[in-house]
Amino acid sequence: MTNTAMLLLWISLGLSVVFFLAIVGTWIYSYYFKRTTEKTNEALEEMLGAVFALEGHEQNIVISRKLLGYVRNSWLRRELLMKALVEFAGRLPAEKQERVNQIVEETEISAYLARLLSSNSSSNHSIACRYIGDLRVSSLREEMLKLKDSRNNDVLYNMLLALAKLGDVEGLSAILSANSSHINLSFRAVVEVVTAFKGSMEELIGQTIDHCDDYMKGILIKAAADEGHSGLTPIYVKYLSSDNKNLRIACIRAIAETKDTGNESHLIGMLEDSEWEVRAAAAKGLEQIGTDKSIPSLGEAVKDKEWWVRQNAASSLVALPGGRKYAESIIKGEDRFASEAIVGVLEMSS
Amino acid sequence: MFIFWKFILYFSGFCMIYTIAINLFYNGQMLVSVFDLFSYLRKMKSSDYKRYIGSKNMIPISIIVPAYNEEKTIVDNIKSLLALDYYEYEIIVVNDGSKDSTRDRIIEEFGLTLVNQPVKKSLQTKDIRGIYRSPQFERIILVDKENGGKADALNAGINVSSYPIFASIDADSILENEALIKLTMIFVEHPETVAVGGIVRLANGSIIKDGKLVDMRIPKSRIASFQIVEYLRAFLTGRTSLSRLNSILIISGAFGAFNKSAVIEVGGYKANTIGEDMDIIIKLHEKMKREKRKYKIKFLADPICWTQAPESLNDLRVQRRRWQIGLFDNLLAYRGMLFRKKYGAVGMLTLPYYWLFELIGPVVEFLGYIFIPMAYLFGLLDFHNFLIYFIVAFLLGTSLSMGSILLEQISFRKYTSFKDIMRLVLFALLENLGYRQLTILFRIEGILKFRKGRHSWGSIKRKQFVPTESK
Repeated sequence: MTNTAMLLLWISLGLSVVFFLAIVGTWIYSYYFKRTTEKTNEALEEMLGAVFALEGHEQNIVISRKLLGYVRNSWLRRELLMKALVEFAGRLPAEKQERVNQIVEETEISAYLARLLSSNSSSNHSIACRYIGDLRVSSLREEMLKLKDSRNNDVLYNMLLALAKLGDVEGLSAILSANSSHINLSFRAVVEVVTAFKGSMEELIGQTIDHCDDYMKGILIKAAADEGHSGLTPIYVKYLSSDNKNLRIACIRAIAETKDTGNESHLIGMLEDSEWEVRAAAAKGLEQIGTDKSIPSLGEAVKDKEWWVRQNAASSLVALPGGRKYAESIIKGEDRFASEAIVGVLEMSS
Repeated sequence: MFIFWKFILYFSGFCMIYTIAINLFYNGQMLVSVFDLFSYLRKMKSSDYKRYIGSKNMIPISIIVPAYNEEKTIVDNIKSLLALDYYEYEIIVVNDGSKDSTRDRIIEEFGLTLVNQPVKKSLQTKDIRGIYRSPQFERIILVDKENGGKADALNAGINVSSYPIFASIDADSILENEALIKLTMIFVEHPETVAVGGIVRLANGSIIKDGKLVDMRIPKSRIASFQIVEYLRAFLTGRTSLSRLNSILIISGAFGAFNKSAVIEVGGYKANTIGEDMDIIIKLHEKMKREKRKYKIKFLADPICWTQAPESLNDLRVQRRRWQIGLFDNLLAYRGMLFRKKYGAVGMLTLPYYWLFELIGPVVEFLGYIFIPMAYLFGLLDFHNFLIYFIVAFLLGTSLSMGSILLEQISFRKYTSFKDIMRLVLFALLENLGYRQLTILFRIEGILKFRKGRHSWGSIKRKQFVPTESK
C-alpha cells in the first residue's frame, strides 16, 4: 500500500509541478511569440510594399532575394509571408497577379506547398490546398489533383475550392462528374465552391451537367441560379421534368432568379406537381416572376392541402399587381384554411 | 463491533481507491482532450468559415431565446445577437409568461407590434398569446406565451422558426461575434451533424460594451473565480473528450445548435423537466443509434458563449442542486440504454461514467470525508497512509484544474495578463480546500430532494453585464 501510495504521490506531485511550469512557460512563449509576429509582419509589410511598388526587373530580383533570405530558415516567417501575400493578392489589381506568382516561386513557397502536399498529414494537405487556391499557384495543380480520392472532408473541400479559384474547368468538372457519394460535404459547401469558380460558369455547367448525378445537377443549378445566369435557362427548363424532386425545386428557384416573366408559364405548370415541396417552391418563385396570368393558379394553390404551399401561394398572390384584390375575395370564400393563410399574409404585410 | 470496524476499514479503502480512480479517469480525459484540441486548432488553420460570414449559401439559422423574468439582461442579449457575423438568421425571443417586464422592455426597445403570424404546430406547447415584430428590426420575433417552462418555450420557438437549423441561447448570455458561424460550419462540413454545442465561459468581472465582451478579467467574487476554473475543466477536458468519442450527453442549454427536423422527429424538448438540455441529446443518441443512422453530435471548444455565474452561495446552491436533479432524472429515464451494445460508446462508456462518477461521486466523496478520518481515529489506518491519501487526492484534483488552465493557455489564450493567470492557478489550488466540498453538499442535497424538486427550476438572481470599465 505504502509503495503504491508513494508512487501516486510522486505522480500527482509531478503532474501538478509540470502543469504549473508549463502554464508559466506558455505565457512567456506566447508573449514573445506575439511580439515576434508583430515585428515580422511589419518587416514583411515593408518588403512586400517595395516589391509591388518597384517596376525594374533587377530591383525586383534583389528584393525577392532579400525576402527569400528573410523567410528561408524560419517556418513562422514563411507562414506569415504566405498570409501577407494572400492579403496583398486580394488588394492588387488583376495585372499584378503575375507578380504574386513570381514571388511564390522565388521565395520557395511553392516548393514548401509541394512538400506539404506530399506529406502524410491530411491537415498539411488541407493547408496546402488552401494556399494554392488563395495564391493561385497553378503550377501545383497536378500534385494537388492526386488528392482527389481523399476521404477527408477538409482536404476535399479545400482542393475543390482551390480548383474553383484557379478557374480549372477540367479538374473541377472531373471531380463533380464522379459519383457524388464520394463528396461527403453538405450541398451548401459544394454550392459555395461552384460559386467561387473564377471562370465561365456556362462552360463549367455545360461541360459537367450531363455527366453528373441528380444531386450534383441540383447543386450546379443552384450555384448558377445565385449568379443569375439566364443563358442557362434551357437547362433549367429541361430538368423541370426530372424524376428527382430536389432537382425540380432547384430548377424552379433558378428560373425565378432569372427575373424573366417570359418563364412564368413554366412555374405555373409546376403548381400542379405531385410533391408539395415542389408546389411550394413554384408558388414562392412566382412572387419573383409572376404577372396577372399567375393569379388564378395561385388562387387555387392557396387552397392546397399543405400548409407551406398555402402560405407561399398567399404571399405571392398578395405581392402580385392585382393579386391583393383577388386574395380578398378568397377571404370571403368557404375555404377556412385558404382564408387564414391570406389573412395572415395581409396582416404581416400591412 | 468487529463488523463495524471492518466496515469502516473496507469502506475507507473503497473511498480512497474511488477518489484516486475518478481523478485518474479525469486526467485520462484530459489527455484525449489535448489530442482533440490540437487537431481542432490545426483544422482551423485551413478552415474557411470566414468566407461564409457574408455568403448566402450559409445555412440560415433561427436563434431561440427562451426568457422568463429576464428584464435585466434581455435587451443586452438581443443587441449582442443583432451584432452577430451571419448572413441570414432570425432571433426568436420566447417570453415564457414572465412576471416582470421582460416582454414590455423588448417591445419598447425595438418598437415591436402585434402581428398575426401563422404558426405551424409541429410540437405541442402552451398557448401563444401573440407574436410581435417590427419592420425596423426584421430579424427579431417576440413570441409571448403562457408559462410552460424552458422546454415548452423552446418548443414554441421551434414551431415559429423558419429555418432548418436552430440555436438555443440563454437570455443571460452573450455570444462572440463569430461564435454562431463557427458553430454552424460543422453542419456545412459534416451534413450528418444533428447537434453541436459551443463552450460556455464566464463573463463575471469582464467588461461588456454594446453586447460585446471587450476586456476579459478575473472577477473579484471568489465564488465566481472558482467557477471559472470549474467551467474550464468541465468544457475543455470533460466535454471535449466525450465529443471525440461522439458520445457527449449534454449540450449546454446556454449555447447549442440543432438540426430542426431531427429534434422534431424525437418529439422536441421534454416539457416539465429541468434537465431538458441533457434529455434532448440522449433522445437524439437513442433514436439515431436505434435506427442505425449515421450522425454526429459535437462539442466545439472555440465558439464562445459568455454567461454569468452565480456570485452568492445561495444562488450557487440552487444551481448545483438543479443540475444534480436534472442529471438524476435523465439517468433514470434512460437507464434502459445502460450497458447496451447497440448504443455504442453512449451505452457502454458515457452513461456508466455519469452514473458512477457524476451522480454517485459526490455521495462517495462525502462519505469518504467521514469514514477515512474515522478509520484513522480508530487506529485502522496509519497516519502515513492517511496523509498520503489526502495529499494525492488534493494534488490529482489540482493537476486536473491546472491542466485545464494550461489547455486554455495553449489553445485560445483569452486571459492575457500574467496576474490573471496566476490568480486562476491560485483558485485551482484553493478549490480543493473548501469550495469543492461545498458543491458536493449542494449536489447531495439535489439527490435527496430529487422527488420534490424535479419539476421546479428555482430562481437565481440575475445581474446586468458590466457595461463600462471599472477600476
